[in-house]
Amino acid sequence: MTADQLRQALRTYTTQWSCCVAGILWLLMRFMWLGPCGRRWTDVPASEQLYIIMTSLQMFNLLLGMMMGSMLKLQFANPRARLLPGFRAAHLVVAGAIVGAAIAIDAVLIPAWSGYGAQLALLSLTLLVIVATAWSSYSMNLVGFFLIPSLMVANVFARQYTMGLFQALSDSPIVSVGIACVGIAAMAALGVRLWTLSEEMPEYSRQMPDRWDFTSRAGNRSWRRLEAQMFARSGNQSALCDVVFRLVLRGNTAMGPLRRLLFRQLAGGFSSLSVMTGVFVVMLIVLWLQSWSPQEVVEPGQVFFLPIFPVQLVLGMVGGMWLRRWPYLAPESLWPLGRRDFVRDLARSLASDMAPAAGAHCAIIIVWLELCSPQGLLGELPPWLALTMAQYAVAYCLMFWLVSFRRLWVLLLGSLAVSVISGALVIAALAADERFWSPVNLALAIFVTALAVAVVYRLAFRRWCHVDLD
Amino acid sequence: MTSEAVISTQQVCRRFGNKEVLRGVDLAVPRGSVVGLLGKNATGKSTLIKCLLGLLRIDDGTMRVFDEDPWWLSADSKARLGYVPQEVSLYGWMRVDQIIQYTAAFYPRWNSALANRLVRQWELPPKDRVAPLSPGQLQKLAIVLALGHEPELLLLDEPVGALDPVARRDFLRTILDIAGSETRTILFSTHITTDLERVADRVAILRDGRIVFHDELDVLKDSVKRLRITAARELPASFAVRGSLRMEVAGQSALVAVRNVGNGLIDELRATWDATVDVEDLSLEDIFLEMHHDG
Repeated sequence: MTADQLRQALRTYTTQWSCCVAGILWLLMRFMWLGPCGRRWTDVPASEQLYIIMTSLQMFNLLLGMMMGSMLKLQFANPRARLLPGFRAAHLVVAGAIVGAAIAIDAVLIPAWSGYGAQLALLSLTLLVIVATAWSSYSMNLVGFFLIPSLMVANVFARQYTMGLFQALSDSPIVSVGIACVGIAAMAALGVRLWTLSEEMPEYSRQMPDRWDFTSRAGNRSWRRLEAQMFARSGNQSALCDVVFRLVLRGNTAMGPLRRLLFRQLAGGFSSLSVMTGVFVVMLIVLWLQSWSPQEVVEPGQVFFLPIFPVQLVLGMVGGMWLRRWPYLAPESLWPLGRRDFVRDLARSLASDMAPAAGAHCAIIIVWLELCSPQGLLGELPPWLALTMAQYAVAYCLMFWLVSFRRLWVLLLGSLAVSVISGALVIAALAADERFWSPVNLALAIFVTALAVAVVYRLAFRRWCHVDLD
Repeated sequence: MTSEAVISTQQVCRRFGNKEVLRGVDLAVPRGSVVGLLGKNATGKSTLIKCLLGLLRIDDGTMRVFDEDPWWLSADSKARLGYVPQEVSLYGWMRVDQIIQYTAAFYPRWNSALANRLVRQWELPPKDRVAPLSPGQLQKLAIVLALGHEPELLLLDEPVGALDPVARRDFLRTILDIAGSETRTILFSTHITTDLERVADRVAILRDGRIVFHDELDVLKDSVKRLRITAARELPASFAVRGSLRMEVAGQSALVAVRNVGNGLIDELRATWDATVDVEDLSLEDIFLEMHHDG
């Protein structure tokens, strides 16, 4: 193994902008909470600081772990890993060095006031989260792939559990050491697995496509390969799809807009239902977790979660679905339909993808506020429902516009913008007194929302009419 | 073949960022013709086809398909259009027969008998899901879907790249059947020049983003020849032949590929160099190579 080999192995990370962005974000988060900014943060109680630090640090460890796992897969699930002399050693050393550097940076930056036990707990968790996520991302194990991020998200909304767990870890350093040992063992096991990786191993051909750029031909090819493997494995499990297919295709009715909408849902495998199920399940879990917290005060997580977070979830899931749909839009656009009608069909299709999830969200809000929430704690039902529906209206138009760019980063930035706007709306609504909901203010709010929806929809429609479909 | 152009483009340009892929393409494809589009890799063949389909916008120039702007092609015109892409994108979870039924539902005229015949002929498994099909099977399926509504204009972007020789031969036979009708027009790009010689009646050669030749295949073959020249004395370094595409000179002999060969040129060479001149016919592949020789 030569210095040049190590340099070239490192270049595979530095020349890929998604890795650079993940690395920069990871570092920024460290310096924000643990560096000079964090040290001036004296007006917040230490326990609160620890909670915020722990949550935000682990979120970005997740990103780092996912990036590492997919990069290792890209490097090793390839004939050249075995054919090029020194390839495996150089790439493993660089990967180990990156994880080691991450731990070292945390060890230096985690402030002394957090205490030895807390420091050790944070470091061991950092290692475990990075390695566990890297494993899931490398093996494309769907359970791990979704379970770890879900736990992280749940942790934001169930502070008492997180703090309890963290306190337990801080109080018994031996447990932290145990966690660190598990992390090191998992890292070594990943190294061995990568060293011996061959085409006969199940994960070899399960490639994570480069989803930052959905215009990349290679990325779409690898996505199709993944899809092929999924269907090859599913065998006859998709019998339900066949039944639905027969029902939809039955009869020889004319191809009107509604039937076309049904056909587009069919082409997407009715994934709108999986979005709805996802929102339903996540909301139920988080609300159930929150119901265990003391109810004398409104938890910030509750306020954020009820109207805003599920919209983000829908945006993320539907956005991902549409980015994967893009390669099919070119052949679909050639079906006998003028371009404007085609774009109208796309708009209806997006609405039908989001509507079931929006319905589930509103239904849960109604049930939660009317039946489960302690009286008066979270306010009246109509404002919450109005806020939620207004968010969906704006989010729908924005999403219609954003997916036309066919870029994940555009989608992420757009979703972030929706979060900020939604957050501001909720805070304004909660801070306002009764006059906020006066008929005049309400009419004004409806007018502004309708105007925003109309403008963004028109922009999106215009863009779709002029966008290249290939 | 009628003279009316189904496709016509004038000075069509298309850029991707700073890279100009099409730099003023002029092309008129008459109704009923089978046009082979030839060009090296990355010369803009797929881009041109996608612009004709309205999948990519043109930056400059004009383009007409069925006398309409392809970007705003009407539903009626789209119903008369078929396309086989280089990279096939089909819904992976559907079965072969389902995707055929699904596509058929969108077209007012769908020839189920033809589609079923092709499925049988090409041994496509009707009950298998699309995702695990091999690239060759996917390509065959894409061809079935493109032919099922018996399009008047068929655009094929390297359609036989993934096919085995038997399927390729079957495909060409099908294309010849389609081409038998005077109202059907086919434009297809390929690198397999022997296929093109078998089915195309016209050839368009795209080079550096421009059409450098578009005429009947026989005209191309008649116009480009290889001359084997043997002179009485050593040929000088300045030896040149009018219209030469490529030249190899060694002592008294020269091998020259020439465009627009006429008796006048041959007589002139004989007289000037006191030489014997043998004229050799070239295959389409040789012509293509000679036309793209940069040395």
